[in-house]
Amino acid sequence: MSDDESNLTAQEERVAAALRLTLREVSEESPLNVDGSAWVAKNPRRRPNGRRLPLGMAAALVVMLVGAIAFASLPRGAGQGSPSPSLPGTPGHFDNGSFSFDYPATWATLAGEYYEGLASQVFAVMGTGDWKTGCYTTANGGGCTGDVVNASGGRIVVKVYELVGRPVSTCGGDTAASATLGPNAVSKSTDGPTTTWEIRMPGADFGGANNVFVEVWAGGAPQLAQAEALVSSFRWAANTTSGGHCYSAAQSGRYDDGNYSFDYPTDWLLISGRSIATPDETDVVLGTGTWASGCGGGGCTPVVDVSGGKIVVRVWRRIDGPPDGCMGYNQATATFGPNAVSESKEGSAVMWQIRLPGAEFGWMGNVFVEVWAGGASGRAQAEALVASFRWADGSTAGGVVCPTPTPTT
Amino acid sequence: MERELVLAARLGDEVAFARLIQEEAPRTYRAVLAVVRSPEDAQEVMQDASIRAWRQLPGLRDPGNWAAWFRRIAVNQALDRAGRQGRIRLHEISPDSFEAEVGRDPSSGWAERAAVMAALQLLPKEDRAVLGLRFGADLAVPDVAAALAIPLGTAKSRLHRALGRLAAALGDDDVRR
Repeated sequence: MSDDESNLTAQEERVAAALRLTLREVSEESPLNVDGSAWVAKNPRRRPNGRRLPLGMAAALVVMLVGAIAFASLPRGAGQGSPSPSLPGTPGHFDNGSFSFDYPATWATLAGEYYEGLASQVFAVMGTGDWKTGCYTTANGGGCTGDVVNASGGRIVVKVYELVGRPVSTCGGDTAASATLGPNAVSKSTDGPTTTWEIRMPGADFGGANNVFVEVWAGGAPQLAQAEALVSSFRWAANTTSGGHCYSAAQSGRYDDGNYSFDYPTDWLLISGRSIATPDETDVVLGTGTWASGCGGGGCTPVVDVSGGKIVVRVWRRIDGPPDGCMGYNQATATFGPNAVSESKEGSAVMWQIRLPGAEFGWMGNVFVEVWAGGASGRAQAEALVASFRWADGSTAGGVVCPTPTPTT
Repeated sequence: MERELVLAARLGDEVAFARLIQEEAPRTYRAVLAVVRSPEDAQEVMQDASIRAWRQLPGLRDPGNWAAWFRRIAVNQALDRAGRQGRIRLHEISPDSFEAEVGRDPSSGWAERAAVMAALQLLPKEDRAVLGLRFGADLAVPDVAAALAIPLGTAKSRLHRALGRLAAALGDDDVRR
């Protein structure tokens, strides 16, 4: 027993012992596999076909964790004696629901979908050359050191992948293509024997998450031309929008992270994604102005520019604990649409707190909509956003239901 | 050692990050299990928490605070999930489901475990979090407070209250001795 437990009553000690034993036994019965492929196999969480998850974050996160925890998730490749893996689509035409491209049907499939550590998700490796993954596993995890490829003698190896888990950053505006192949404006780079084309997801910058890379080891000019033809044939699925951090809101208009959703004007940009600066967790920052968290030295002082009638909206939650029980903090000071909110000022920003169903103001999990508006129209836009705010079905404050707010007189 | 691993992981060292997770995940898993009650949900929470930790690692200002920081992420993920669970999935591990466990060794303690897990569902998720961190992750109360970002006094009072509620939910006779 620790010092902490020396003050427990006999009953509390019994309960604590029972709970400790139960949690240990249940966890041993359903162990957490933190370094093998079993965990992944138990919870296959695949990218949905067609439209991406909201803001693409969930998909990127899942993919990355699969890599993080399961370095053993190595390619289902066509090694010696192994059957050739199948690719989505038809022979000569890859189509995984998110994007498609053509390739010579005579090419061998060298690997199907797999994850390379934390860095990337490979969709396919194909061609006529020799290829072997550079990824490995050890008792302590694993890693990837680079592919082992031989495309000499007029052969070719093509690897199609995306980078995942890139840090959230603001829009850099890096959209300048260095080559155009078919309808695709791409960023072309070479590194030793390889040529790589980065294909932007519609609305994304180069360097953004979810862009697709086509990396080629070509044994000669004809093979390079084949790779260029592949890139030329590349097409994103209809309605695909950037799942990353930089896209035109004109292609969206409703934010939905699974916990809650709201509408926003279509000319707003996504300025920043999720970030944590205790005790706050920012879910998203949107608008037409600029914003930087200004975090450092133990605090955050946002740097915001909404000059010229621009607007910035930060939607965030407090991640420290709620108060003990219902304290009567339920007096709303403003109402937008069906949402009764608590309005406050925070520097130059106005902030509206939206309660979790059943919760009171001040509780963990409540959502704050913080608005810097450079003009009256911006304020009206923000109010419309709050009016459109909806919690996901089933959202509760841990089953607690505090008394219904008393209307303000 | 942990500090060096965090610094390496912040620079993109995946192996270092995997070692950090390997070190901290098992105990945090038990805490998460108390909150969401379903092993499958707990494993998904741990997955999501690990991903989020990797993404947010550059923002961790004090590398020495890694463990508490990761636990906080995991527990908040668990609380989020518990909030969405409502009361629909709470009988995944319950005495009722014991009836379906044909062939299970009665001496395995399944019924007792099921009773405790079922009792947990009667508690607010915040109570389950404090209990899970204290008795699942075996953290000292100050570490529980740090993981929940609440004052020490609040952690102590919440722990006391949660134990009382769990005892009431179990009934003294049901408590495993």
